[in-house]
Amino acid sequence: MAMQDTDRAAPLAPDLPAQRPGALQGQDAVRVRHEALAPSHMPSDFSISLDSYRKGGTDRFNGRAPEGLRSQPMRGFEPGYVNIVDYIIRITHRIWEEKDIGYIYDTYSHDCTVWDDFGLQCGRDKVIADTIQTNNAFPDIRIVADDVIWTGDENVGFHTSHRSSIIGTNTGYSRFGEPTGKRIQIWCIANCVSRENEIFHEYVVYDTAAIIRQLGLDVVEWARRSAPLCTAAPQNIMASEPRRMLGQGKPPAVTIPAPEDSIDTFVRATFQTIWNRRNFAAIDQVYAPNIVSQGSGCRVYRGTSQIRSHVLAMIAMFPDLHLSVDDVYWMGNAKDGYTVSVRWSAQGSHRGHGPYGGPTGKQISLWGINNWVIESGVVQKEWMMFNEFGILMQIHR
Amino acid sequence: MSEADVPAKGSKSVAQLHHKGPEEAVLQVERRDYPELAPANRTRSQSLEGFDPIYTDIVDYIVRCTHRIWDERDIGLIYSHYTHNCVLYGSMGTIYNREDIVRDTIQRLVSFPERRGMATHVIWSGNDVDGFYTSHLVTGSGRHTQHGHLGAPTGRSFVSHTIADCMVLRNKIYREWVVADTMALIKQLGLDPNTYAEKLASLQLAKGQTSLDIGENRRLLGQYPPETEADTSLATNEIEAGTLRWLHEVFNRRMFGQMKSVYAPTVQYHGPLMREMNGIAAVIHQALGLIGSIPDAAFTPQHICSTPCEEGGTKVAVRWLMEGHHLGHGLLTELGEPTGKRLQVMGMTHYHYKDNKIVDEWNVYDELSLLVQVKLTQLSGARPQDH
Repeated sequence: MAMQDTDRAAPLAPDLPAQRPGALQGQDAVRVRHEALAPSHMPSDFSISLDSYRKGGTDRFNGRAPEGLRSQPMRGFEPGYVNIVDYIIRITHRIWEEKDIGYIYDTYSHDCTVWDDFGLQCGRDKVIADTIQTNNAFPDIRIVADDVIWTGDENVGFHTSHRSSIIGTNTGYSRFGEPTGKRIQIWCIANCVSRENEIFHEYVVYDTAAIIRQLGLDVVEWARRSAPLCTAAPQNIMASEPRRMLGQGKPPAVTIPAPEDSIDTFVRATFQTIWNRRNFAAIDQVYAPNIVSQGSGCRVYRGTSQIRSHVLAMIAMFPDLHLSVDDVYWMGNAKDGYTVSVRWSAQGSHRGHGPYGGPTGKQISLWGINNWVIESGVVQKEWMMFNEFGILMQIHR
Repeated sequence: MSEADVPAKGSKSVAQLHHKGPEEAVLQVERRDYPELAPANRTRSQSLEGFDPIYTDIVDYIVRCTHRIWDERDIGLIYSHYTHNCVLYGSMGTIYNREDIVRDTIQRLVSFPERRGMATHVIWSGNDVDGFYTSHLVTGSGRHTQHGHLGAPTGRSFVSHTIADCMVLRNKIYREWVVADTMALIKQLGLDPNTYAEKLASLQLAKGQTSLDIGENRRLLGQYPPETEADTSLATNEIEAGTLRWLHEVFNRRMFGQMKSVYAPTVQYHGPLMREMNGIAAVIHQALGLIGSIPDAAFTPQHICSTPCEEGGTKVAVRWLMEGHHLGHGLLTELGEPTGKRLQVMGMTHYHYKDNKIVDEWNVYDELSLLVQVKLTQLSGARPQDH
């Protein structure tokens, strides 16, 4: 049936991607991809940060690299990128706002792993297809960066926690049906690890549940319909016991140090004391009285009492909840304060009442990312995003 | 097929080599009234060995013979304008002989006696020795007043785009590709696309046709990214090569943002379902939304030709295929929720470049043919033992 096309040369062999100048070759770096971060990797100031990046106004922003930025060694990255904040901001702009979605081929590895509400997504092609779907549903989408907390270097990889507001109008078809014409605004936190111009590992919380609610749709109904797609939790077991303590023992008690003594210990001890030890009074010790915490469902908690209510509500729904802190990194110093990224996960049995419906007894996997701003020894601002839609899918499976 | 059948694009016909002045230029369609496109007493503007004396050049031939067959009802002219063994590739199926083309034409005229197919452009290449290739954009309008292939008359009027690409030698078309925007027609007549598509699919199934999933479309080789460079071997000049390069960049490499450097800010887009849109952002979304419905789509150009035009710039005609699976949400909303079924989009697009930017695009593919593909796969998969 084909005409002159049958005479065409066979498709060319794919271009082997040319090794970028200076790319890491043949080194015997064992397990380098997931090499642990050490405190020495944490930037001790904000000279490379979103705040310094956006000095000089919006005309110098986004489409091209601002001038006069502090640079850092970035072996294997495209020469145009001066530092890791520049990389994150501009690839996001180009992919989502300029619609060069194919640029994902240059900025994600073929075998990247991405955790989202639905579970683990593997491979670059899935990322591209999903990005096109979202752009189709929200053609005027804007990803407004709020902060990029970063650490690492060109050897261990750059770790970035990119917090943004996602804004858009649902004028196209989405996995949630026909266009609603509704405008949405949600928080998103994407924690990525990148090396040599490619993101190879990502945890992203899009606040899917809030998107569905803002579209005017029934989130429980959609959780039920989407549940077959959710691979986030084992489906063939009933509630096992989260190992918060040993038998009839008690969860270990820890002392919360001052943040300037050790951010890492401060974070881990805070989560252990509040979430696992259930010592909710510690909230007054750790958070500033005027704390503003923003998070999933676009909920805003003001003051330590509202934060306490939120923690209580979660543990009321999942009475045996056990939380573990999986990844902590930060920027800053005692004088200027710190910005911190905390990635955590938790298991709990759905045995209590709450906004996710009556108890089902199902064991649920929760995970999330917190961003903290610490000043004067306490948490002044918090963003807490977790897989709310993932939880709903697991409950209503 | 042999080498000789392929129009050697870029090679000049005898008349072009002895080009004497603008009065002898091959006709162009967009600015002319029909009588000027079917002139009396005009000398030939190019060599047309073997063509009927009435035709003065290839554009005259295409426009006038279409008018004579469809509008003047001399349907039998098909016998002198098509070869007996001509093949007509349509988005809904293939016709393998002249007699079936005659019958198919009569069927359409039965349903829509008032139909007028107005030529919008003819973009062409080739000559009378090597053969001509023509890409003919028709804006067709009419009224559904009679019983016919769409059932009882609805009395409604319609307007839709069709592009027909022909290979012509010595007065006879020997191969043709047609993409008609059937979905536009069905929607405008107020008919139910699902019912009509199911009818067509069950007719195909009754003939023993099934939808074969080709498996992988090989846009990507395994885990490699898409080819960096476009295959431009179809092109005969720089504007064609450039067109193939940006199409590859946008549709295979998914670099939709690159369209901003290809289109003029004032671009007008004339798309399927008679969508009329303006501006770069709108055009980008039409590309993005199509891939949204077919996330694994591979775009392969099948033919390209171009004609400089008297209103300035150059018009380029591309015939293309897009192969993939209905795995996502996007522009193809008549297909409903993603079905995962294989889709092959047959499309044709005319671009008008002026000062190296596209100022007009006419894009035709038929969503109804895609709905039929989905239905056929569903029907052929629904065997009794599956239930």
